[in-house]
Amino acid sequence: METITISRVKSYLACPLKYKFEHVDKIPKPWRAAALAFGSSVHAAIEWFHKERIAGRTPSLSAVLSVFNADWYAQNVEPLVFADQDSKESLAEKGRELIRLYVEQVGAKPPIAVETPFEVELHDPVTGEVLDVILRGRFDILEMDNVVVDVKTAARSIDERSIVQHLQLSAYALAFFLLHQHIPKLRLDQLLKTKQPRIERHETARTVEDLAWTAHLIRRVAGSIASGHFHPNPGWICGECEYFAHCQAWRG
Amino acid sequence: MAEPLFRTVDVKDRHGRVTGTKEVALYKGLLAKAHEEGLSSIKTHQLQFATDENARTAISKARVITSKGTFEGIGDASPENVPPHILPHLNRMAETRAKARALRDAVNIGVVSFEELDGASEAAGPSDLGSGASPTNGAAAPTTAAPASPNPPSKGNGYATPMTESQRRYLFRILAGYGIEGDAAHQYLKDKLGVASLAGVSKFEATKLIDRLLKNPPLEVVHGNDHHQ
Repeated sequence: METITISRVKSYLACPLKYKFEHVDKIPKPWRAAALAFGSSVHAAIEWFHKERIAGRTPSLSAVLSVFNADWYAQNVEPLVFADQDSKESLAEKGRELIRLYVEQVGAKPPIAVETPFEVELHDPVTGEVLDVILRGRFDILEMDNVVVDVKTAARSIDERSIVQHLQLSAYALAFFLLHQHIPKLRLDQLLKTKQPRIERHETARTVEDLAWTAHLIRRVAGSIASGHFHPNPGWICGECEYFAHCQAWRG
Repeated sequence: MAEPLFRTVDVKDRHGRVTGTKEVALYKGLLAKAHEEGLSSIKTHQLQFATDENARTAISKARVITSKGTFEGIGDASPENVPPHILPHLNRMAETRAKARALRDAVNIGVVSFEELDGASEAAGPSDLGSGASPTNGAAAPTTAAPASPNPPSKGNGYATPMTESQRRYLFRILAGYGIEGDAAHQYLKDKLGVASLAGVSKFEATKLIDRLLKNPPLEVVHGNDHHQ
């Protein structure tokens, strides 16, 4: 039975050939994108913040910022590649502002859990068809009343259509459904590193048919990977790809 | 070519001295033999993920179906029974061990499998560890006595894998909790690890330092009494 993670499904769908370079050939990335590192540092600080709250403590803003600062420093020990408008210092400032906003706006009740790992054998939630794929992942945040939250930093606000198609949320909902037999409420907490940083919270929902569609998509991706189907997916994102040179040398 | 089913490994005492040898089964060989005997399915289920709350003990269950019937095995992995370079892969090591045990029963092999041993590292190969696995340069000698050598193994074995990005970030976050931040933390790590650059630190050394810092605050903090958390 194939096992796959949500991040690998997303990675494959974004570009199957890049997936191969990264996960099959295991070619080291020649550089790391600052935007990804920045998101990881903000994520690390928020995870720590919630774990402290779940443990019954009340972490101060300065303590949460200290976690972010340390993580961001560590990320920059090896050089990152910044977008034109960004720098180590500017992102540090935006990160601190986003965390300040997050801590200020967070609800009074701590979540139930953060970074909760899961593993489910996929089946079609409508027909019960066994799909012979195991899906692994981690729920970012689980809140009371069956709310699953994904936390993401982003450069721009997501539109409504994209939230409906948001694969990570769909996969969360599918895994939650297969584990608990009901569909969770979903929320995307976007930490926007815009000129004036801000936080947007987008609530959304999935039907059981949506979950079935997602389950079959994941199965198809796992099958494509197992059978070695790796082709490039050219587009605007190629200009930012770490494997651009390898891709140019690719001949099928 | 047929996969070998057995290999002989050294049995060592707690001081690392070889005191004998032992025949063990190999996962690849077990799998090949199971296929010969009509293997139709291997399913695994993670009963427990490794978390701080359960002392990072992962437990997995495997069910193997062959033409002879259904066989189950339970596997566990924790920092107590894996070598240091497997620490990031406890969940998958538990799964590999569960599969090895179920396969042993399925093909009627009584001897323990190499992958079930405390020091086993062949199971850490990319094919078994799946996503996120870090390839190692080779296998550490399996032992029946768990403790690793107090001296860091020399370059050329699995312990020479470079410190991961996650480990580096974790070290800085731990130090921040002790009030050591930024350049001071960077210098502290270089001093403690005896390197001019953190790029030269192995995963094994990073794991040891993380464990030490989690158990005990840095002496500089204790003596300076500026531990703020």
